[in-house]
Parts: sequence; structure tokens; C-alpha cells
Amino acid sequence: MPIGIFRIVLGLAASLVIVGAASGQGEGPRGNAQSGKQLFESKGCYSCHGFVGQGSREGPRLAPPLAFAAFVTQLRTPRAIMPPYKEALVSDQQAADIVAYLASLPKPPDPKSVKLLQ
Amino acid sequence: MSKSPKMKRRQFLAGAVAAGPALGLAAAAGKASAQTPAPRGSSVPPVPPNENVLPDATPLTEARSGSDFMVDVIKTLNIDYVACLPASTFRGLQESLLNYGMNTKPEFIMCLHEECAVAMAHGYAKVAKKPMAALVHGTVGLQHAAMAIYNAYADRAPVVVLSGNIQNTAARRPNVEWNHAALDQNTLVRDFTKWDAQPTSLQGAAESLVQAYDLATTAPMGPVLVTLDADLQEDPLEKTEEARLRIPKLTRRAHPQGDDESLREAAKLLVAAENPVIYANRYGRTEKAPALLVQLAEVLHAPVIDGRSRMNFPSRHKYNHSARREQALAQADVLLALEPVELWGLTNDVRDLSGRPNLRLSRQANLKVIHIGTESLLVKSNYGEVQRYAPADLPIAGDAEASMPSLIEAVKREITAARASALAARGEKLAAMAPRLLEQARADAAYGWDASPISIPRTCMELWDHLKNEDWTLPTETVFLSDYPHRLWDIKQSHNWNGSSGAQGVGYNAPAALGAALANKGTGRVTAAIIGDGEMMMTNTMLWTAAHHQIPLLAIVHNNRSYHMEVMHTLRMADRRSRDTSRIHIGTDITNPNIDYAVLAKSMGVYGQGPISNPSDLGPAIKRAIDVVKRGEPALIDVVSQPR
Repeated sequence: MPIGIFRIVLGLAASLVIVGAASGQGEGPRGNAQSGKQLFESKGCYSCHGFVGQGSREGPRLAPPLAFAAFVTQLRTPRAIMPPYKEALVSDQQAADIVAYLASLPKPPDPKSVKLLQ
Repeated sequence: MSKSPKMKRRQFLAGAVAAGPALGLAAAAGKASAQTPAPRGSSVPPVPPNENVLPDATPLTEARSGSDFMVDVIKTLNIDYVACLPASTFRGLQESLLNYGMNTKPEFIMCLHEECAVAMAHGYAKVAKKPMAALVHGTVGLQHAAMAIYNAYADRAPVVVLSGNIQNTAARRPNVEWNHAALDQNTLVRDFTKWDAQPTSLQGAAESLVQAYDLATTAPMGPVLVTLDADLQEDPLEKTEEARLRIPKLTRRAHPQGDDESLREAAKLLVAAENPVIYANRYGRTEKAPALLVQLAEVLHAPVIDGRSRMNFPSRHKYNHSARREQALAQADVLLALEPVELWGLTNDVRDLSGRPNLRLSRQANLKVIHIGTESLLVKSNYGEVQRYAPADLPIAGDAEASMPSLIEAVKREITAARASALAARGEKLAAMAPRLLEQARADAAYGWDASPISIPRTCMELWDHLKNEDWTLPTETVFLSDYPHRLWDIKQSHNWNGSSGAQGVGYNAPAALGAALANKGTGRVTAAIIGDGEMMMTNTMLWTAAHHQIPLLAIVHNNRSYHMEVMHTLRMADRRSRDTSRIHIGTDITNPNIDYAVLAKSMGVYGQGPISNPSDLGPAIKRAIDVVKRGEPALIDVVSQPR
């Protein structure tokens, strides 16, 4: 199996295991949305996902966020071509702050209610 | 002296250059020594005894010159415009174009950088469906033009580049003219032109100019370069010589078409397939291209994936499945690739991960690939636009659009009544997916709709609101707009979308947009571009050209205040190495100070608005700018944007 595929499969498997486990575990550390907003920018998350997590051609939409455990799993063992963010680069607390920031963002309007999107 | 020195220069050129530089130098030395014998054994060059006294026969005026004849030739090619900035190596031609040619067919379009001149011609050609010329200075001007020529080459776009040179070393004035001349200046860009010439006679110039146009416009198309020698331009044209000159007639040839037997074989495979997929990339060459591809897709009831190097297929057609590219390709048992450019990449990938792993994408084991294209008909070695080798099961060398009518007929002949009903059933399923793809795009666009910096889909849809009831052209790339125009707009006609830059050389979009606007000038079409801020700063002098020539272009600056692709690249490296990400903005951000693009535009005579950060201000700003454009003037809006 090519190394790339192996990594992706491993990442997916790990993700499923941890997401499963997380569903029965709490939500992780309490996050600070204000700090999360700063981290979202300083850690470069915005560059692929947009300043409000809206997503782009380069990275999927992040808002509303995954549960903390699933978010951290994707962060540490990402799918596709996102580089992994290890604990040294983004701590669990910082990840929780980012999740809190993404959760604090207002819901988007219903596209059916936006005249320009008709 | 008994002979005109000018006549001697032309004679020198005809003999010396044709025989090669080394022989040329020897011939030059021979001519010079024949005119003024040097003292025996002396190394002092032969000069007149009193250098302030001109030879008696030196003409101070001339009636008709070689460059007048060059204008006669250029006028036979029906070239409407020549983009240029003035330069000494073609001063003869410039004067002839203005006074002998009366600045019509071609008309001068003054640019302030050679890269702009060539990129304008590139953008123009794809809308006008014919080339214009770009006239660039010898050596230094050609060096400036090189990247734009490279883009046009990689994009297989026809551009006629003209340049000047002072080939005769004995005719070069000291200092500057030596620096602005070369033995073989075309070698600078020979790796990425389809053809080049440096004619050494006026008859040769006539033939080279016509041949250049012919080659540039025959698929696979590409930029061509003709360097016109200064002596040929400036020397008087004697009546006896003129009587001998002939301008070859430009006759148009058909574009190369795939052979009938292979196209019949392709039709059999496509009709028999359970899940055929059509992939079109650099396919659309003329206004007819989208309708032809619609016909093929509707006969086969097959999905089309648009690679978007050209306007290939209507964005809202029920069989446009570009938004589910990977899913469609994963199910395909027959893939018809039309001018794919990157055939290998349709079934494989190199992941941007440590070690750059190669991987086979998820594809059916029995997948058959049919490739119709001209990629193999114009191949050079040094640059990588040929891309990675990928054998097709049925390779067909020929222009895909030219081959389309025969392929459609062959497909129709293969379809039995029973098969037609099975294909139609497949079509119903595919058609049912199309509205969902549009719905998904709209849902995605709603996220960040009211954000500041302004979201990309918001900018796109504010613009679309003003274009949708017009005849319009979007002449700029959409890859940095997360493809939202293709996902959300109703792009129907060939001129609605002008494809990609070819080689992704930054600096293409602004002047190419202006070239497209020039092609649209007077047609009533609105040309509206969305141009990255990094792009704009590379070639912003096109704004002055737009104002000077009153070319109506709406330029929206997608101002994310960075070379954002490089932000992502640097971030990727820092992440991969688990290092600090706080310094990635050094050398990538375009901030401190922020550039005021509206002021930049105004400084060059262009209507400018912005910076606009509040999304609710954007619609009214676009309305005002479109009003300006409809008056026949250019306008710019600076939109402070999300990165992508």
C-alpha cells in the first residue's frame, strides 16, 4: 500500500475510534472564544478555511464545529492533505478555544432567504 | 565613397546573418576593410580621417522605407491592434505604423510594460478569436515580455509578438544600442514560442510575418515571434527593390482533426459504456465549442467535468457535473478526455505531503481512457507544460473541437433504439443530481455571507446580480475564487469566460482582462474582472492603458492583502515541521502599509472606489462602477476580501 494511502486509512480509522470514544466522554476543556478567534488567525487555520470557518476550495467548512474530540482527531491526524498540528503547535486547550470560537459564530442565513442566492 | 552606406548595411545583413554569426563578423570585417583600407599591419579600425565629416553620399531624408513595406504586409493580416511601448529597435516600424499606416489596422495600444502588452494580446485573442500583435523592444523589452509569452504558450493562445534588433554590428551606435541588440535574441523565448524568425531581407520579412500568423492561429496554437532588423526597417526602399517584393497570401488551413477510424472506435466505446464521463479542459476554441459539447453529452447522456482552461460547457447544464468531479470519475468505465493537458492527473495524484507520495486515484479497474487532443503536436523539452506521460487506451491526435462533429455523428450511428432508451434512463438520474449541486453551492455560499473581510461568494454574487441581465465576459481566473462563479453563475457562451492563464505566471489577469475588454469594446458586452491584489501589483500599469484608450473594464480587486497561496505554502512547511506559524506572514503579506487600490486607479485616470470592507456597501459600489463602464470608461473597486 502506498505510504499516502496508508496514512489516510490510518487517519480515518483513528478518527472513527476516537470519535466513537468521544461521544461518551465530555466535551474536553472549556474553551475561550475570544482566544480561539486569535488562535484561528495566528495558527493559520483561516488561510484554508476562511476567517469565519466558511471553507474554501482549499479546505472544508468548519462552522459549526465538530465536537471537541472529533475536532482534535482531525487536527492531529488529518484526512486528505491537511498537515497535522501536533500538541506542541496547538495544545488541547488551544483547540478547545478554537472550537469555542467556531461555535460562537452566528448561523448563516437560510440561502433561500438571500435574494442574491436565488 | 561611391556607394550609399545604407545600402551596404542591407547587403551586409543579407549575407552575414544568413550565414551565421561567426561568418557574419568575418563578412563585416571584409566589407569594412573593402571600404577603407587600414594601414598594413595596423590594428587601428578603419575610420574616416575626420570623423566629424560625413561621406558625401549620406542621404539625410528618404521617401519610402523598409518598414513601410512591413506595414503593407501587416495590413494584409487583418490585425486590429498592436500593444506596445515605444522603443528604439523598432522606431522605423513605429513611425511607419503611425504615419504610413495611419494608425489603423493595427491601431497602437500604448502599454507601460511589455508584460502587459503581451498579456493583453493573450486575453484579447481568446475573446476576439483572432490574434492582435504585441511590439516589444529588442533584448530588454523581450526579457520583460518573456513571462507573458510563456503564459500564452502554455495556454496555447495565438499572439503575434514583434520585436526589433540591430543585427549589423557595424551599424550600432556606441553604448546603448550594443546593450539592446543580440546575435540571436529570439533564443530568449524559443523554448516557449511556437515559432520564431529573424528575417534578413524584406522579402523574408513578408514571408515570416504571414507564416507567423498562419502558425500562431492553427491548432495547436501559440505565440510566435518575428524580430525585424533595424536596417531592414530604416533603410530606404528603392523602387527597383520594391518592384521585386511580393506579399504572400494568407490562406487558412483546417485545424488537425482526429482520424475517422479512431473516432468510430471512440464512439463504440462511449456508446457501450455504462458510465462514460467526458472531461474537457483546453477544449473550447471557438464560439461553437460549448454547443457541440452539449450535443455530444445529450446524445450520450453522459456527465461532463469541466477542467476550465477554456469555456467548454454551460455551467448550469443538467449534465455539468464538475462539482462532483471525483465521484463521477470514480464511477467511470470510459473516460473521454478532450484536450486534457494533464491526462496523468485524471487517474493519479501526487499528494502535497512529506515525501510527495504518488497515488492512483479511486478509479474503476476496467476504465478505458480515450484522449483527443493536440498536446502531442507541439512539444518542447525544457519547460514542463507537457506534463507527466500517461498512456491512453485510445489516443487520438487532433484538435478536440475540430473532431467533435465527426465524433457526434459516429456516436449517433452507434446508438440503437434499445441503447437509446438505456442512455436516456441514465440521463434522467444524472439530470436529477444537477439541482442538488446548485443547492449545495448556494448553501456553501451562505456561510460568511455577512462577514468582513467580505466573503468570495458574496463578492461574486453581488457582481453576478449586475451581470445576469447583460451580455458579459468574466476574463479572469476563478481558482482563487474557490470556483464560485462556475458553481453559482449561469455561464453559457464562449465569451462569458476566458479560461486560465496557461502557466499561472502571476501578472496575467489584469492585462489579459484589459485585452478581453478591448476585444469587447463597442459590442455592448460588459467586461468585469476579479483580480487578485498580488496580480494587480505586478501589472497595474494596465490601468493607465485602460484610461488612455478608454477601454471599458470593471476591475474588482480581490484584496486579501497577501500572496495568499504562499501564505498557505509557508504554513504547510511550518506545520509539517511542527514549528511556529506566527512568522509565516513575513514575506507573504502585502500590509503595512495597506495598498489603496482606488487611489492607485485614480492616479492613472481610472474611476476608483474602496477599500470596501462592509458587504452591504458592495452592491451599490458595483452599480456605480458598471454605470461608468457602460459609459465606455474603466473602473476599479477595491474589495477587502476573505483569503479564498
